[in-house]
Amino acid sequence: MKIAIGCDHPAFIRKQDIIEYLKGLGHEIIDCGTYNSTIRTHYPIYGREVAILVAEKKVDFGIAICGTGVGISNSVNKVKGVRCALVRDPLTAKIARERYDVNVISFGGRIVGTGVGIMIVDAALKTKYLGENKQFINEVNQKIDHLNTDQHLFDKIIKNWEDGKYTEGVKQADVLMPRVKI
Amino acid sequence: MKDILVVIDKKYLLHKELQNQIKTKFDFGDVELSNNIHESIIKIGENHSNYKTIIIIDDYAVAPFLYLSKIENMVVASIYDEHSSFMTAFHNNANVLCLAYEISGFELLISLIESFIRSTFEGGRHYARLDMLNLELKEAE
Repeated sequence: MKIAIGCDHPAFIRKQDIIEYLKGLGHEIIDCGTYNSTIRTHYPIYGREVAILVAEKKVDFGIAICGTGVGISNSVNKVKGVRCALVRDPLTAKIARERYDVNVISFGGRIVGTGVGIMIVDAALKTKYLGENKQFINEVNQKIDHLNTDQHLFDKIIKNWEDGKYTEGVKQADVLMPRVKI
Repeated sequence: MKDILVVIDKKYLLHKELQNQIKTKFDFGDVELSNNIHESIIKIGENHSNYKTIIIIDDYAVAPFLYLSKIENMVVASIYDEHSSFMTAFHNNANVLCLAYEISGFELLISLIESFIRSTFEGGRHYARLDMLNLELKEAE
């Protein structure tokens, strides 16, 4: 499978663990970043990147990880055509796939260790959607009008961040942008 | 804290006990029972501006998250542990808490609600992330 994966800086190490595991199984991994644990960055940048790849069917599945998983999973779900579940165990990942045909799975890198993280990903990838809840899934799919793929959507906010406008004037290191062309 | 809505799926065997416990322990606005959680989720999506915070308790916290996170200005948290429930208010300014009765025991459900409502948003650098989340849907209209 072709799998997109993204994270913010607190979850970087967990992302790397998952990438190593999936590559070992022979999956093709699109690493949307971030690319280290030291440069402060923002989960929507990477969550949205993963989501757009999934929505455009450029990948088969997505994985999104941040500290608790809440921030990045929200940014993933605010993209049309994506259904993301935030979970803490393999059972919920399985249920989310079976009943709601989720195409992105998310968890907290500071909540779930590598062992459980791998099991969550395994459960998500090997579980088939069983055809239930079609009406509700349709409501979810229709909730956002159109797919926005603007690569410059966050430019102004990122510039303001780097100029220190969110950090009381203290300038910030340049944010690491995804090394993937959407 | 009268501006909090709680909705509990009636399929939870302990739904009545949970409703009573929440009403006793917390001073929330409305603590309702749902006969059809999917319908309730959609209705919440239409009327969410009536409440500052919404707490939904269903089987796995998947369905409410899927739908409500697609709405502008809603930051939705599917929560299964107390660190996450505290942090999601502290860093994400989450306004929807989704809890799972199939995953979390009765006492933990209460503790998750408590740690969530006792936490307040830190602001500061976290606004950069919230501004991005809001921009995702604003530009999609």
